[in-house]
Amino acid sequence: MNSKTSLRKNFSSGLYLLPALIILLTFWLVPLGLVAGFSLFHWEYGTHPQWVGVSQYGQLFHQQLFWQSLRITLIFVLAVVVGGTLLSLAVAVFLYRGIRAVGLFRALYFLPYVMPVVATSTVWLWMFQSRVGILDRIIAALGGNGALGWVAEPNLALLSLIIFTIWFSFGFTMLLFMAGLTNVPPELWEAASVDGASAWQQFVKITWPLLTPTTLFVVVVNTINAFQAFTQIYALTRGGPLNGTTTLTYYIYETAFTYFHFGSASAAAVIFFILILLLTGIQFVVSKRFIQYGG
Amino acid sequence: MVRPGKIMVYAFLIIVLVVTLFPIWWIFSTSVETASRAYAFPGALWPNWTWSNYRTAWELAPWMRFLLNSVGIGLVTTALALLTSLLAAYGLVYLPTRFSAIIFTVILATMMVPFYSIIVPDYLIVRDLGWLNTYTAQVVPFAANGFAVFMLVQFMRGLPIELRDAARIDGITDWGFLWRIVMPNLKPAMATVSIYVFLLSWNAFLWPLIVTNGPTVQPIQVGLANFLSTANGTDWTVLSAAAAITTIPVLILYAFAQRQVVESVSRSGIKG
Repeated sequence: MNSKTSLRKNFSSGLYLLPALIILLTFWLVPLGLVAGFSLFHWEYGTHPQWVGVSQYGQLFHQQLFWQSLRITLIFVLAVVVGGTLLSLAVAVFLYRGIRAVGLFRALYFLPYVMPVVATSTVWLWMFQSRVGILDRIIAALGGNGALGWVAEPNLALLSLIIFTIWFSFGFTMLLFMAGLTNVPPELWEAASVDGASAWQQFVKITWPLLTPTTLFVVVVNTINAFQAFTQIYALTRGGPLNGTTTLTYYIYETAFTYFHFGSASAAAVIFFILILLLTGIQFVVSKRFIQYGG
Repeated sequence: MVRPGKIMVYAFLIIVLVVTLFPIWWIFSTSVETASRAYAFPGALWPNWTWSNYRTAWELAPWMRFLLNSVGIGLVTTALALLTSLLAAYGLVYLPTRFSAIIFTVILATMMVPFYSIIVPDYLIVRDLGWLNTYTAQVVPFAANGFAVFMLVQFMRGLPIELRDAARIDGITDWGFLWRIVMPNLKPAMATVSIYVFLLSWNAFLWPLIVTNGPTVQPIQVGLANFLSTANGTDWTVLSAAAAITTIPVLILYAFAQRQVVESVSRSGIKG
């Protein structure tokens, strides 16, 4: 191939790639470089950025609210990932193995996921209301303390967010598990049940091992989504009360767009990016080491 | 034959189903309940069917405008993202050069960038472009998508190579080949990508929250959130009616496209 045709080929290939590349570079990759740069400047909106090197990272690590937001993020992610994964696994396995109207059940479990999060947050906020909300009323009717005020107390507010998040997202991970289950050859279960294996034994010996790649995928997706939760926090608690539900994403949002500290919000954003990268990395390494992909 | 195990399975699934559906029922039943009954136990379990809450809510905010904004932004974003990804995937698969591998890696790398980590620079870029409070700001940054390119590349690689050779012999141009032969063969992948991008756009919240400041261009979720935060003292029955208004179109759409949505989500396995 002479250099002229190769040039033409590069050119026409480039034309096809250009629109996507321009957008992805401008709004996704270049900003990643910019945010790293911004993090080295002390910069409040409207003022002139001042070079401060890495000192903003030091300040973040000395700030109690930042540590608290890290801790809250980890609790939230852990609870949502563990709770959501177990629930969706159980639902998927039960649905898949012997029930009528699978399609209907599946569509209904998935329903909350397609509804606008702000709308579903609204109804949960109503259910979470102190005294008049249905949850407190049920507790009162059962003779308990019917004035919990779920979103009014920091720890309960975090729990409320966790419940809401699992509620709207488990249908999604259930779909992933069900897709994974189609890869299990049904003969394995049939053979096992002929041999007199109980349902639990079949699950432990057949279903679960063959589902490990799916489980890993679900855990990764769940972790990344939970780390990036924002809408429900904004709609349900606004990071409160007493910053009790200020996760890292909410912390970045508030620092940048309520206090307009662009520099330190950028530093927090860099830490957020590194954390997500590390977590995904760890999960893949762990998977390579411990999981045998069934073939 | 009904075994006790089977009953337990059904019981578990039905309990989960009730918990899943109850809040959805609660939106609608509270929205058609009178205020006095809504606040008394047991609340709107079986409501009074008072439709006035909808009239009140409807007059308090431009819901139709919000809804059309969301639909418009979603459709345009989806169409553009589909176009840019098809072109990019085509360039990568059928017009490979020595830069293709590195470009593909760069495109895939964008999938690893969490949007929350780049909101500050993105906000400043959009501001400097003069796009604050426009549709453009809500469409353009999402009009290309690394995952969409990835999906389409995978599917294009699955098409038989003979197609290209045959087309070349018949004198069909790249452009004609893409439109007349590749695209019709990629329908399932394109459906998956469309639903994925549309849901991403439809669920966008933080971004429109920071780049818009008025109802003329705001999508429905931001409109509803602003309505709730300024509606201090408004009855929960009216708030529920507002939430129901934003939900009804989604439910109608889901009732029709349920199978496609469920299948494409299980296939793509990712959502923003």
